[in-house]
Amino acid sequence: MSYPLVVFDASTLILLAKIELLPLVAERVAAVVTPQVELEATRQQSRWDAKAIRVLIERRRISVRKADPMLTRRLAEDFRLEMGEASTLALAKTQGGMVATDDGVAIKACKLVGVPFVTALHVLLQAAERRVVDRSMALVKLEQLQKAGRYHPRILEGAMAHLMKGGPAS
Amino acid sequence: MTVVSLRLSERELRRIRQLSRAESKERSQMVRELLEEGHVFHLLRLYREGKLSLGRFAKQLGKSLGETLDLLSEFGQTAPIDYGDYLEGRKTAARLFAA
Repeated sequence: MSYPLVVFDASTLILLAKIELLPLVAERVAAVVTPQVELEATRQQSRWDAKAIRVLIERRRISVRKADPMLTRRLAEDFRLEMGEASTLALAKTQGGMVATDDGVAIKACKLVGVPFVTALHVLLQAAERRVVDRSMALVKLEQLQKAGRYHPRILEGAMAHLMKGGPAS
Repeated sequence: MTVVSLRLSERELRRIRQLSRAESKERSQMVRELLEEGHVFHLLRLYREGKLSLGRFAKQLGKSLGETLDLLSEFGQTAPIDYGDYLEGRKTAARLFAA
């Protein structure tokens, strides 16, 4: 079974934009954001990541869809989430998609609500596995993500081991 | 700006005097800066403990999410995502980029 829809929250969107992986990802998955996330991720147009996200939305590589407002409000209250995070979860829940988030609280909420999730790190590892990016480039991006994504050292070790066993670097 | 009076211990007052002298700042300015930095530290602790989502953290800081991610990176604050979450995410990620 494949998930046709990946609903991104602003954290993962920004991290993937920072490591310049977002355009490649947006070409290969049905990338969706809610209007709240669009606003949050693009509101500071002086930032490079905000510009990159804006361009992908304007080119319709990332589509914008509204989430159920009632469910969004309820999830925001139940899990003490901000509206961007809650709307992402609500849209994925009603559309049968997966959530892309790098927020710990949102991940806990995904588990409780039963919505599958990935982080920017998972997207990078899978992109390397499917040869969307070659292994050498994936290692460079992992290094960039190490600082911006602030993953636990044990997670980074696991990610590095996963990348290294994927065959010789090209 | 509003003027407020508050009770401080001798120790607290001494600390403010020392800091304002060391940084050549007025005491009231020093107190305002400490309050601001204390607020950031308080929010950071809530975030680290998983009591505050990234979005709420950014909102309470009055910063954009991008700026907040930069701040967390600057402070070297590990994301509150555990190894179990990583393994669970790996299973889901296997469906990414599927034909």
